[in-house]
Amino acid sequence: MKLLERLGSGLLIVLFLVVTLLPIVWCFVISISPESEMLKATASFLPESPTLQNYVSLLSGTGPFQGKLITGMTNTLKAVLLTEAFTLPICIMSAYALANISFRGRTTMTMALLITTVIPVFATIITIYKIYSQYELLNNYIALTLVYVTAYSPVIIWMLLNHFRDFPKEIEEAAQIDGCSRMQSFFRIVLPNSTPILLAAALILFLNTWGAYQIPLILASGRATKPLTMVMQEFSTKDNIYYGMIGAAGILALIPPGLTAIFFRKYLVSGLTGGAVKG
Amino acid sequence: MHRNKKAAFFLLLPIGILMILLVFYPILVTFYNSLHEMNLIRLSEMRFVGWDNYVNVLKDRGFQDAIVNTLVILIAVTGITLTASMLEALMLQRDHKISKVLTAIAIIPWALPPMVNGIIWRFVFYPGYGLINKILYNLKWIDAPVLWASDRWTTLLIAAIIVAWRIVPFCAIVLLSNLQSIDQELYEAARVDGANKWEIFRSVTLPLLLPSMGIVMTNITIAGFNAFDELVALMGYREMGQTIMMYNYTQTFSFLNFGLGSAISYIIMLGSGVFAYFYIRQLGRSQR
Repeated sequence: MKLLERLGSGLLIVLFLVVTLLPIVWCFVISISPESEMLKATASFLPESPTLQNYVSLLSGTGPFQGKLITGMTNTLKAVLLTEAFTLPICIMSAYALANISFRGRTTMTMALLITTVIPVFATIITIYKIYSQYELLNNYIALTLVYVTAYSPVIIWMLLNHFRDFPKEIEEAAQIDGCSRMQSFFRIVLPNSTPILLAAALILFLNTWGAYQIPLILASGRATKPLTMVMQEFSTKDNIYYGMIGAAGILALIPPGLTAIFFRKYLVSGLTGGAVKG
Repeated sequence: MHRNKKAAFFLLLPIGILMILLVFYPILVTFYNSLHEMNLIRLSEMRFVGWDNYVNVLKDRGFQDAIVNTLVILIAVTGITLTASMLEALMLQRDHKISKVLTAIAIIPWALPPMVNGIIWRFVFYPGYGLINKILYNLKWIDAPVLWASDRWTTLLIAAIIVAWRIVPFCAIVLLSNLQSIDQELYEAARVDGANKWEIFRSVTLPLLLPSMGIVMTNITIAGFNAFDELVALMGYREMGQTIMMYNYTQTFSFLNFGLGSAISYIIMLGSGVFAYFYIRQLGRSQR
């Protein structure tokens, strides 16, 4: 009975590893295969002569798609940095106010924020597209970032709000008795003691922005402003689909979020169980 | 107190302005547009048509198909995710030497861009000699490659697998943290009473997992309902097997028919309002 149980749990682990990792490994195999050799009619799993040609041509901006991948990656990084810079301060301010200051309409505001998380993107984006095209804000990264801010803030605010509310009031009050203003006690006591949750928030923002597709598809689809997720869609032309290139681009796009998730899993898990949701 | 209110006002001003400009105002305008015939190419010819757009959408065969497709994905994602995340949570809970490594691996699919997930799985289910076909071929189960994702139902099933692959880690982690909070003495007591493993799981573990089921189910619903990136990666913008989100996108932006597109958005929003109600209630409960 004990043996059977250990066997069962061992099988479960193997199954888990295969389902989770094999698809990614396969994508890597495709990416190091000479163009489309892997998908040709052969039963073998590995290419005869592995090559890094796809990576070289993507990263050096040569080959059929020139600098597309580098441009896409730069755009995605730009969006990530801007989103972090805008969203974090705004969310910290709002969450602190909603958690610690009592005023009329506080619950209504919190609920209104939360309800926006379940509104489908298209209910707002069609109109935003029209407004942006009127004011020539399409393909403008600041304008795009503001939409990200409204899309990601509610969940981040909710996460921080729960944290600030549970932060022991006594400590803050003690600091204020010692002559700190409310602002000083926030910056010197509350904020330094909130680094894990702030890190979790920053990580979730990074993952969301890095993977965003629908919003930039509509608001930033210009040749020079496409993010990485859109560029990957383009390695197929009328005559040819460059599977190796698509695979290589996929691997390049999954390394940053993948490594981030592995290294910072502790913070992500605590953020997740603290009520955060990634798109 | 008065000063506090002022502080709250200024602290909430930025998010308030952004939300009003980019969420609440657009939603109202979208409703206004949905009552008009309105093409982006001929904006000057906008005219009021009442509920015509709504009637046209509801009567459209493509819309009805898209609704069915979305529901099929939703059901399949729910089934796969609940089973897989429960197994994964139970696996992570056992104290293996490699538990830490397993958790690290488990979180990867959740962190990846949905578009990349779609691409990865497209290679797995490639209709020629993709991974699955190679495996089946080497096992001598098939003689010729199976044409995956070439008909409506297998496309939907594969889409559901891809979506589930992405959200299982989240659900498993939520379930795991719930499992770890269950008092060990309850298991002891059940064991003393002579319950076997399955009975313990059914009458102790499952009922005590109910609190996190709400969060898990809302996430499954939101992910299944909004399935878009993965499907685009898998099959492009073709009509067969498209979900309501893809239907909404193609109707709006291929034909630039914004009145109709807005009506579709509103129908979807009202439909998801039911889920939204339970979602907010769930969050409200977890606040207490």
